Amino acid sequence: MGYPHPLHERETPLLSRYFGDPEARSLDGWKSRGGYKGLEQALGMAQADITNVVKDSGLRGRGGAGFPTGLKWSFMKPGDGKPHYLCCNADESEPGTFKDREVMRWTPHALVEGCAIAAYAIGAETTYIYIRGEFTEPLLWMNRAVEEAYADGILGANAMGTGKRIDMHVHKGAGAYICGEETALMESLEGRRGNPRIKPPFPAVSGVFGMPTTINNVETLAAVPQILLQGADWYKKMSLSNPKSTGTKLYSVCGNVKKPGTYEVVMGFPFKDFLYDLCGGPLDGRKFKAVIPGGASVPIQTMAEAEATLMDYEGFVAQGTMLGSGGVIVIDDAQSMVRVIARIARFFAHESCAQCTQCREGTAWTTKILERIRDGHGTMEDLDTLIEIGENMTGTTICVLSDSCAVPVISGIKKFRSEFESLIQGRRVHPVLEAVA
Amino acid sequence: MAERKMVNLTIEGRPVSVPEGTSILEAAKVAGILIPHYCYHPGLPIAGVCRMCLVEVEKAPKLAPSCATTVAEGQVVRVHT
Repeated sequence: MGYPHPLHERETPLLSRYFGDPEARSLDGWKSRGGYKGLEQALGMAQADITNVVKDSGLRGRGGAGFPTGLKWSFMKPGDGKPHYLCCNADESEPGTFKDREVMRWTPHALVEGCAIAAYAIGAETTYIYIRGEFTEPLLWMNRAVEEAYADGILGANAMGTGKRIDMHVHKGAGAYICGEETALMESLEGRRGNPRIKPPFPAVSGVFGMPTTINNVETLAAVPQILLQGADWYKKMSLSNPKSTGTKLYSVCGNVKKPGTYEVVMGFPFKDFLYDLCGGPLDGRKFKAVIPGGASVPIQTMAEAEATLMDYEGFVAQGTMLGSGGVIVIDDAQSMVRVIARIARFFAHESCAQCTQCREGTAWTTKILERIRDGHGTMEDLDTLIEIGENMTGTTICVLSDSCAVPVISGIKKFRSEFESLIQGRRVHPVLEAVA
Repeated sequence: MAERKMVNLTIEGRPVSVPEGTSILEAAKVAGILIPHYCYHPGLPIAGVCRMCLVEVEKAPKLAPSCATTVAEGQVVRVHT
């Protein structure tokens, strides 16, 4: 079942199969749809075997970085005498991304099951699900799902009657974008200000409360039960392009398209077909101009680049951008790129944690210049200044928020320079205001 | 107390030998090179946020904060680049 649109024949619904089906939210409904069979199987396996299955499946982190999940799990050393933790990163705040929200709203038990399997595999006694503060509805369903699982004996001191301990807590964040960064999330979970930590030490060495921690995205964990049930080879075969990117990916499409929503396709799906066929193409009388394929923090693509893209980790990189979180933002010819980019920069300036100099100053400065250009008071030198600021903001800070601000600005100016220039040269009135007048 | 293991590295072409666990910034001081810094103070915990003390470490993918990076055997560090 698709949501909010009917399922398209070219979609591969693995995580999104029960989106829009309210019965799948309850424990009984989920069990009758084959739920918790993966966990049952997992609890009968050796911990290292589960990690190996996930490793073989080629599952990679769906939060943006694309780090191999099995490899991440293998960094954990169960039985070294320390407490271990699993964190589920449900602080989905990337502009344009709403895939984790749908997973938690419609299939909360899929996430509970995935978390329980992962917690057992890495030897974590306690799992924290860190949900973004604004996600009130997903929080409701997740709390309910965890309660139901405890009441049914799936979680707790005697998980599914096997004598193994799996504890799970749902934690509500306060709604900061930066708390989606793994180390900031841990700081926030501990009760401090969500400032990213210096790495190394990495979370697998020193994470929540200074103890070994693994942190995974919602979509990653929700895919784990299916992988265990159907096998690594089955998951590995779901790829149209290359063996490095396997399985399915949820994309949340928004912006100027006919059918925005959450779609699930296999890796390596052609981006052109995705935009024109699945998403219904541009609005009547309009044309696509640009696409931001992975949430606001990845480079902007021109349509020529987007149409040549295969949707997987490597495919997006080959066309000058990144898969990111899968938040596709489509921009058509009625929009001003300057406005779009200025708005993105303002977001990052607002969300910067202000620890590192480059980020604190750079994001604010970039926003100031971009809004000046937007309002028709820019100069030609401003464009070079923006690129220079952006270059100094890349790769020099603790976390990647600074890079995330610089990347759309630099790529936007390089690819749509003429729009900036025409606004600067003599056109003192904003194009949209002009159209209204 | 057992003698701490010494680590040899090169900073700005000058060979230095410092105890294990020293930061690059402190090692540079031993070599007589001042890495400019704001937020670092020997008596305070490391914040690593002013990014003034970033240095280039050979074979590292990006610039490293010298106050928060410990020395490694055979490391080659460039400061004034």
